[in-house]
Amino acid sequence: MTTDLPTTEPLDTYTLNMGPQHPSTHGVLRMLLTLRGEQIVTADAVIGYSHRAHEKMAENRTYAQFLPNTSRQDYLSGMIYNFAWVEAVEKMAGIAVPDRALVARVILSEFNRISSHLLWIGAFLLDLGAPTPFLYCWDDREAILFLLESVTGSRLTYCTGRFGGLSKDLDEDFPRRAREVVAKLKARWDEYDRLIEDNVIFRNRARGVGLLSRDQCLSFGVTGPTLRGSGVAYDVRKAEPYGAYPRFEFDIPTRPEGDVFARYWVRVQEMRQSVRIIEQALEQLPAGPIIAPDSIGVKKRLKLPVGTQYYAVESARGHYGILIVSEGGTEPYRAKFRTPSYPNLAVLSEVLPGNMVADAVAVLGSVDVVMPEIDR
Amino acid sequence: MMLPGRIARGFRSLLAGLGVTGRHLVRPIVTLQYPHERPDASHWGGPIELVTFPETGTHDCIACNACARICPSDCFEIEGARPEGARKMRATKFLLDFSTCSLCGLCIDVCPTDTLQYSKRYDEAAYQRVQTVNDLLAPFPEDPYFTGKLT
Amino acid sequence: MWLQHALARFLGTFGAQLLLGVVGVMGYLTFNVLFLIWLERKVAGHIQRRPGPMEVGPHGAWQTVADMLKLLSKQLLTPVAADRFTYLFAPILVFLPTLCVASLIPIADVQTFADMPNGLIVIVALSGVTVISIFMAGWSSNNKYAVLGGMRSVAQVIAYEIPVLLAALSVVLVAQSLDLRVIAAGQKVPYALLQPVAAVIYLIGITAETNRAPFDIPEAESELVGGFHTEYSGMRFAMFFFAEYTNMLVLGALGATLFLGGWKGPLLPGTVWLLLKAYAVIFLMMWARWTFPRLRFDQLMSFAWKLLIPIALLNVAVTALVLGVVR
Repeated sequence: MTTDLPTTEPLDTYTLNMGPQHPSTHGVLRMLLTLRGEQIVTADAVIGYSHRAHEKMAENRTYAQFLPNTSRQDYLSGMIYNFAWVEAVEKMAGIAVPDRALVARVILSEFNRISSHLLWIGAFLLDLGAPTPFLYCWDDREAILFLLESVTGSRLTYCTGRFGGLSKDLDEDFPRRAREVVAKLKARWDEYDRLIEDNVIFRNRARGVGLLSRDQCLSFGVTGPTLRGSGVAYDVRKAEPYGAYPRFEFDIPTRPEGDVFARYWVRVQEMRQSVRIIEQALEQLPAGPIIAPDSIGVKKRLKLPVGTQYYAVESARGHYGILIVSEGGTEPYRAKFRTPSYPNLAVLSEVLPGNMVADAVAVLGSVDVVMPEIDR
Repeated sequence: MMLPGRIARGFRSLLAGLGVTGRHLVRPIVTLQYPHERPDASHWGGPIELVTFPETGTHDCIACNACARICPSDCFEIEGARPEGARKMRATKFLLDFSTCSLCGLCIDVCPTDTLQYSKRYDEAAYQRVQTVNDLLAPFPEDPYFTGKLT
Repeated sequence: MWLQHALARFLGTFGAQLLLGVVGVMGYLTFNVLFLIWLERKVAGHIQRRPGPMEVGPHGAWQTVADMLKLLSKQLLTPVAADRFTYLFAPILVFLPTLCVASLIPIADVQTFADMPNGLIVIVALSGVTVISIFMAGWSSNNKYAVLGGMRSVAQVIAYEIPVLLAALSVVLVAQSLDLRVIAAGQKVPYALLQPVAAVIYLIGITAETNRAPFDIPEAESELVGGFHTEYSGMRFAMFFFAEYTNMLVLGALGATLFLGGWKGPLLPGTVWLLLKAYAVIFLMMWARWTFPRLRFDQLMSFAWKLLIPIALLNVAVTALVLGVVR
């Protein structure tokens, strides 16, 4: 895909480096842009500034010892990543999980998803020049984080999953408090619509900008709201259901245009769907143990059978996959993490050229990239 | 040039936005004025500490090093000794480097005597790295097993 | 006025008045900047459900003073290849037209600092000078991004001056005079009610004139392209903000004079009413800043040329027609 750029002689392009440190809140992303006047000719992402060798660490730690690493890969979907590792190991070892834990994991994951999307909305609007929604989103996130803190003891990087369930049970008061948080969130949707989505300035900045076609998405392996904003209704929770998700009714918001506004709209709708799931899960929360009674917990080291296993979940950014290669020991031989932000960032080298520099920030923001999960 | 309808709609959307922020302008603040007001940390899982059991009035660490072995980040430094006439070992040195601790809670889960727990502390900032090493035995200046009060 | 008499013995009556006037006005403008910055942070804070500055002084009253002291203590870096005279003169020049415009606004009844029956035309002319000073700042910095930022600022200010002046023209048609004193005195009903379209256009125009959000691309696009004040540090940088807030006050006061009746109001002295109304206009600008995202530069320009100016022209035409019929 090349746009017809007007030729001038001589070919007059200059390189602009959006260095790893810059005011946009996307982590240590470095974009090398070559510009002709205001138009972007090429855009290359330079990654690796946040590499912490998670995959190598997985080879030197037992399956339980790796638990704290999981949340730190994508710290905004920390709960989802923690549970993904736990569930991947459970599936490979054949560990049964009680119903209560399955439903509790869904509730906590969906709250995590909502808090991640709220943060994204705030940061995205901040990139566009409106500082206020950031604070409103933080207020809502505070309610969610306080709730999750009361359950797990942590606010951002959770380590509450254990093989066979969760480490701490939900207390009796949890459903009431969770419903309060949900009510507070629902009261806010309307406000966000009036302040952001209906706003003519926002619409002019977001509509028709950063077009990402369906074919580009599929060829790069883009997933998550970025993909659903280009018209493909793929969500791991529906395509390859896991955990307790098959028990709940929810939709997959999709929008065909593939512009920045579509990706924004998809995420806002996803938050509404997450609330729907949470309400159903709170109704259905079964009584019982929170961890399998015969679980060895962490007192003995878990040995997984020889083999290879791939397990995927839907994180806030898309399809997160864990590949575990086990040689029968207490530590994996190899653990590979397929993180959604990696191809989501790569597709930008095709999306950005042809756009103006002023839109680059908006497009980058709309893809919701978390650098640490790209670099692991 | 845009149609009058679109102009009117756009203008109305701006007024609606102003309405939202205007409403927030007159409502009370939601932030906590930190040093003067403190947050509710009753559920917070803070730096690891030793539990004081009401029956014995002291901790129950037997210096088995299970927590040190399971810790993914090598945070623990534990030494123990067996008091005269006692059946079990007691910890004589228990250091936890909080600067590498990730609060994963595996040590709490693995402890055979359930003597570890999360504390409620949250403002642990220090000026020097050496100050981040917590001495978990500091709240227990006298060990009744060593002084002979308990066996 | 004893001070005036005391000074008159050394400087003569005019000299004494001049000195007192200058000191008084500059003192007030400094206070004004400190106040406006504090107000901005408080308004921003409360819109965002937080209190804003609270630590330095009661409810953060001395915060701006502390920030100014900090800026004063910063090293003044001058780029090596900068055009020295222009570089140093630009922050000063950006101020002067604003002060001249301030001298024309009636502060109480028919009292102004300067006596000009065609005040509005003079204001039109003076507004153009600010443009030059912005470009001087960008050009003399010897930095291609500063030049780009400067050129954008210039384009923005020029584009949005026209709707502001057309809105003022609509008021002139109603008031039948170019003299601000007559316009202020003649408002039995505030012209904002008679000319609502002009009032809105004026408000949008002065938001863009003062480079405030949602029109703050020259200041805020520093992520990618620096604004005209990139190469300025310390107090020189503060001068641009001083000028911006003074400009806000003066344009706000002008708006209050044109649309809200200037110094008119019961009980309180005229100057106080004028200032209250000016601050009300400024408050509206602040409210808008913290609500809306930024316009992209080309959207900003097309909004001015393709939307605001035609509407402003239409407003003038309709006003003229209606007045022609009525009178």
